[in-house]
Amino acid sequence: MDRLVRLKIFCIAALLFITLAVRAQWEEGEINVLFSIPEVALVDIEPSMNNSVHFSIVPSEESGKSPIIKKTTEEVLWINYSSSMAENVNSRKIVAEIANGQLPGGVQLFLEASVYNGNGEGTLGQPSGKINLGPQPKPLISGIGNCYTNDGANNGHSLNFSLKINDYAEIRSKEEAQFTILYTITDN
Amino acid sequence: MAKFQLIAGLILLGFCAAAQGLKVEVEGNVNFMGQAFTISEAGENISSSSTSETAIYVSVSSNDYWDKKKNKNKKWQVVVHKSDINWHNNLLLEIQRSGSGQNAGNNGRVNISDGNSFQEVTNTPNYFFKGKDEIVYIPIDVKLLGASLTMGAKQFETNIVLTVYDDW
Repeated sequence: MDRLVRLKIFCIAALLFITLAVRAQWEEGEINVLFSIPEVALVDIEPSMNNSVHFSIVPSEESGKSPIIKKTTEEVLWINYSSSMAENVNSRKIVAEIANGQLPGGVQLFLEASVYNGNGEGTLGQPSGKINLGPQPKPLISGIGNCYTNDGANNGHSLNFSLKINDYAEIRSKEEAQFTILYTITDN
Repeated sequence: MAKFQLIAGLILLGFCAAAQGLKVEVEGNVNFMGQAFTISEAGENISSSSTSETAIYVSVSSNDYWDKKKNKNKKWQVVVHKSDINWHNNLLLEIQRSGSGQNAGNNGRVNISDGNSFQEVTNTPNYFFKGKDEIVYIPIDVKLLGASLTMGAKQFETNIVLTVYDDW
């Protein structure tokens, strides 16, 4: 076959192919979607209408016996938290301390968080055991990752308070001692 | 002489080919940065659903002079997919056409159909909507679902790709 004829056939075939391809030719438009999840570290105590815990120390009914410690509030307190961490943070913890006031002499206040309860999601914290509350922050819940407990009572960790007399010599009659327990969520 | 004719023919067809494409243009960007990612109470998650707060418009037009003049009822269809840059498997994007746009020449009824309810944008192309002739300023809504604090504090990015094809 003549070389020119072959070239013509090739060119016509190529043109047909290009024409068909061109029928399906397209151009794209793009919508960029960019957003950030912010760093969040929030903690609060529920049910929040009244988060007070009351104890009373009354004399025993029989002389010679130790005074009786009564917890006079029935309501269970719950600690809720939301946490999202920057990539360079491994985990967080919640610490508790006594602020705005102090414990009366001769008594110790203990606090223990329960294991997590509720329908939150993510890497929720683990209780750090019973802590003896004082003016220095102590870890109450540790190993908190990116998570949320959900809001309200029965979500998060319940808080169990207990009071103990550790030095009878320092017990004094007093109308009422008030203080605040401060909870802080912090990076490890 | 024959060679010359062939080359001239190729060049002419090449020009025609280059001029036949439909194109999609996008105006605006997606912004999810409003109330959706704020938390008022400890224990809460961020809102798992958020619709873009800014307007996005898509225009479909032709580069082809002859199509503009002689083929006003040229049919086309738009397909959509996404191309992830930094994304999370639990994040979902949905898209819808919230209006019909305008005829490019402002000379008649807009002929556009489908795409007017939210549909998921996946990494594989799916049909979105179709129309005839050039239509500009087609309003688009984009919705984000599945965002959660459990993903950590970081940036997520993807591109929604709209592609226009001849509709046979």
